[in-house]
Amino acid sequence: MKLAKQPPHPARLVEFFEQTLGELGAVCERTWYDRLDVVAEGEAASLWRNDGQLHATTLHFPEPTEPGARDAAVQVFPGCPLTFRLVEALWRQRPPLFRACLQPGLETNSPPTTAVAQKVWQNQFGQRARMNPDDWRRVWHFTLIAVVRVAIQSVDQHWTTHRVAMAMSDGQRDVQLEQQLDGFAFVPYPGGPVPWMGLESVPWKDWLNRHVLEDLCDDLASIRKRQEHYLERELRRIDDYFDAYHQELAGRMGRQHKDEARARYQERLRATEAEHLRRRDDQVQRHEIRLLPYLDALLVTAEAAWQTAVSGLHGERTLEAVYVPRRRRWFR
Amino acid sequence: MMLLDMGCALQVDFSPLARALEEADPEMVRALGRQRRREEKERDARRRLHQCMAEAQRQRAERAARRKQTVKPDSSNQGAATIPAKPLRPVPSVPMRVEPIQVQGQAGLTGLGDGLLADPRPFLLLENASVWWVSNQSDDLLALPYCAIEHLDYQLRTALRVIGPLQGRALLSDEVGLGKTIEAGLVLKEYMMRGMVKRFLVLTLPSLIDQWQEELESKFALPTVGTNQSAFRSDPAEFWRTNPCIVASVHTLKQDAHLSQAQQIGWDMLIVDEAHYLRNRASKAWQAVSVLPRQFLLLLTATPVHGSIEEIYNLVTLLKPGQLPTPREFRQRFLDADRPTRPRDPDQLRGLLGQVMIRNTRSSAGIRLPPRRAETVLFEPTPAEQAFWQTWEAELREALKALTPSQASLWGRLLLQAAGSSPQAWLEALMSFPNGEQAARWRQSLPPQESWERKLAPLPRLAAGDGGLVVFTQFLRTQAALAEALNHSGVKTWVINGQTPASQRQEITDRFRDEGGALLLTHSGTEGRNLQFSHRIVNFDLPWDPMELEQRIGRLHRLGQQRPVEIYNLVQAGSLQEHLLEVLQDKLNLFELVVGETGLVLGEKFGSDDFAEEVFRRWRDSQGKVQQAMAALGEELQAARAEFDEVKRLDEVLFRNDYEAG
Repeated sequence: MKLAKQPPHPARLVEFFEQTLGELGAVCERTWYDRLDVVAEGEAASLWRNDGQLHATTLHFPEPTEPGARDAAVQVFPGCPLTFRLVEALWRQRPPLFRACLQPGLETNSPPTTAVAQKVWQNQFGQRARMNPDDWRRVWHFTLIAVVRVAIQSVDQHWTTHRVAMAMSDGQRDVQLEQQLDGFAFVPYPGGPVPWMGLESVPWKDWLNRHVLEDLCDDLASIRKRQEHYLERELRRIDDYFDAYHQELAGRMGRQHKDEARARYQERLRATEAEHLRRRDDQVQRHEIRLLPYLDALLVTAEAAWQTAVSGLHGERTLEAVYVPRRRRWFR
Repeated sequence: MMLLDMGCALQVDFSPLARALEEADPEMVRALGRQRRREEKERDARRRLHQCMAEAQRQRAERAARRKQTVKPDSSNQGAATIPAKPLRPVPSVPMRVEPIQVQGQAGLTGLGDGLLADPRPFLLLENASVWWVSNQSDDLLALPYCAIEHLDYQLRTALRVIGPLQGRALLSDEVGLGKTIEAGLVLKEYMMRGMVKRFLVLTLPSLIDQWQEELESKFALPTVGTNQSAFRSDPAEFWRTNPCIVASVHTLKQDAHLSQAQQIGWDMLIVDEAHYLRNRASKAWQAVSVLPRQFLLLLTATPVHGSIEEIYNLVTLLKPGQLPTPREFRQRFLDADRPTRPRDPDQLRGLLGQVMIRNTRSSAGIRLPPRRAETVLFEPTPAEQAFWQTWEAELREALKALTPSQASLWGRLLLQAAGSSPQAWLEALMSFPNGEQAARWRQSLPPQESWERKLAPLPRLAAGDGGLVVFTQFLRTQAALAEALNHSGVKTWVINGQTPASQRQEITDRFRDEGGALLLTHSGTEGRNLQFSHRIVNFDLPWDPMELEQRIGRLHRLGQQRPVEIYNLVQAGSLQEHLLEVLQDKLNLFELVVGETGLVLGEKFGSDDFAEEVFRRWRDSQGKVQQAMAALGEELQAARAEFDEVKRLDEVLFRNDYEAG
């Protein structure tokens, strides 16, 4: 899910600064709707001083349309350095990996009925299956939720932010968790120990790249169109130049009577062609679109699920599969 | 033979003229010398222009021939031509690379944040921080939500490019009608929002001051003061000192008294509209702009080069002194005297200009408007009416002689235009004519206006068509009479004028769009109305300002218009309006020009008020031979149009699509 950019509303910025500075250990007080008194030390004070010594200041959040020059040390406005420093201080202080257990819903208390489980299987995989109703075991289903910033570099640079949720078992996207994360309740102490899956056991970075590219499909299409337009223009220019030069050399060669001179021109023509190709390749490389993803936060969630052995109707191959009640979905 | 002063080459033979010069006042001699040099310069410029055009034509022919050769190589050729021109090579697709994901934070993914989370807040805080970090980037225009403009990709990209790589100093040379004003306003607003601009000065032509003020206010919520206001006239020094946002006439700035005031202010941003007037470095305008202290500078012109690429040197030097080498070196490196439209080292020049210049074209911006069709609808007056108006014009010419020149011009223009609009407007205008007795006599002798009915006759039929009908008039009285007549004919009628509250105007426009009928507009009701959903315009009367006509058309003939725009001009046969319309249509080609080009064709010669004044002057001096008088004006306009066309072609040849924003 691509996250929308925040409009520069002072009220939202004040809230963000108050909350984040508080997390970094600063003491904040809103003295007016657009003023925030801050007393900071350590990481929180790094917004203003490198030594982290105690620092007290009043931040001002002017309306974006307010005329007048801005003071970058105490004013928060679009593009200001304080916002960058605050976020970067938070990144430094907080490790990006979190774990959480999702509060089990009523549907997880008991395994699904065989009829429901079979119907879901058939819908999902297009074939009927058989499962033993007495063989359901409680297991954990893990999902990765990542916050990724992406810099798209082409003729110019764009930034986007994404929240991507995907099952750790097969990398499939979990749209519900992605879109409604704020609405989910977490369990601080689950009944027993959770056998957390190691991140290294799955190719989650590949999956993440794939999902981010899906999110960026429209953006990339328009960037590619523009980039191709630029490339075409440059290539035409190069082609025109070298074609004219080629014609000229060929003309001169045609007027030569000595074989030696003609061979010299042949050599030059070959060199010209090589240079032409090199310039074209160079332009193609220069017009490459680069995507640079940065992982800012990663949340691994565990939730209760049911595992059983599933086989075909006629006793074909048996496999272990996990049914996740929240998603009404099987994972093989 | 004698050689006159100032080192110039004005040479005069021993002739009656030479003898006369010897006896003449030295001041007069110098003036004559100056005049001759000026004429020589003009001749030289014309010669260069013709050379440029000939060169451009030759290049076009060459390119066409090359294309032909590429498509169909001639197998009969020997020697050089035995190697056929290569066909167009395919353009490979743009490669894309996704770099490996980098993990933010020092701990990487080895350490856990807070162990098991009890709620998602710590994670969401980090996510929110990322969103703010990205939102704080300058890859988007933060001002956009605060601007009342259509979001056109090429305009946004232009603004981003000016703010980003060009660092606030740019030559915006979009083709006419693509919205350079909007791009400049967007850059200005963005800088203001980022707190980087506090004081700004917009320099434009006197006739465009109001338009700039209106656009900055309505589209960017930037209130400004203008040098055409009384506050400026009463205390100029105070005006320059206290106002941070000024729209000024470049002609005013050139005056020493004003320049010295403006020079004392540190301008954060300077915008110069119609910057082609700065192409001559020796001009007062160039020198005035060059001495103003400024942080950011935008030069706006659709035609940066009129005669030679050397002119671009002067504009770029204003923007970034040192970007191009010294004038001499520039000439040596880039200028080919034999081929003025083809720079010597085009790639290097393109590289240098690309750092200061943006030029969007219609083709690069993907803008294609449907055509326009203009039709003159003549209505014949009865013999009695015709006789009356002829007599009245002659009497008016005499009556105006009794007034002061400014009064004569004012009343002459008002009454003549009112007469061309409707009998009602004419009668109302006469009410306050200085010579009340004569006005009363004219009013009483007005014959029954049967032609009024004939003028109204086509409107109901046009209004019944799909998309309705937009009727423009200059006079409130005409508008009221029209509304009454159309209502009477059963046409649904909508009226917007200066008296309509701003809050109701959009609603009326929306209802007209939904329900059709006829929308009656005056000049002040026109401002800010976008009517591209309709495609029929009636100019019920003819304003004497071609720019006004262009603005009327521009309300409908704009982005989003799907159908050919039909323009109907209603004029009385044999009237001044008919002759004027002929001139505007046939000589100026007003109805074929792209919106925005009219001003460039009229150029410095005719501002909006100057043109109306010129029409009046010619009518007054015509002694009844109005058609001939207007024809002479037409010749001048035709020459101006031809000159503009040549300049436009030259700029197209020079810049092609090499400087677009994306």
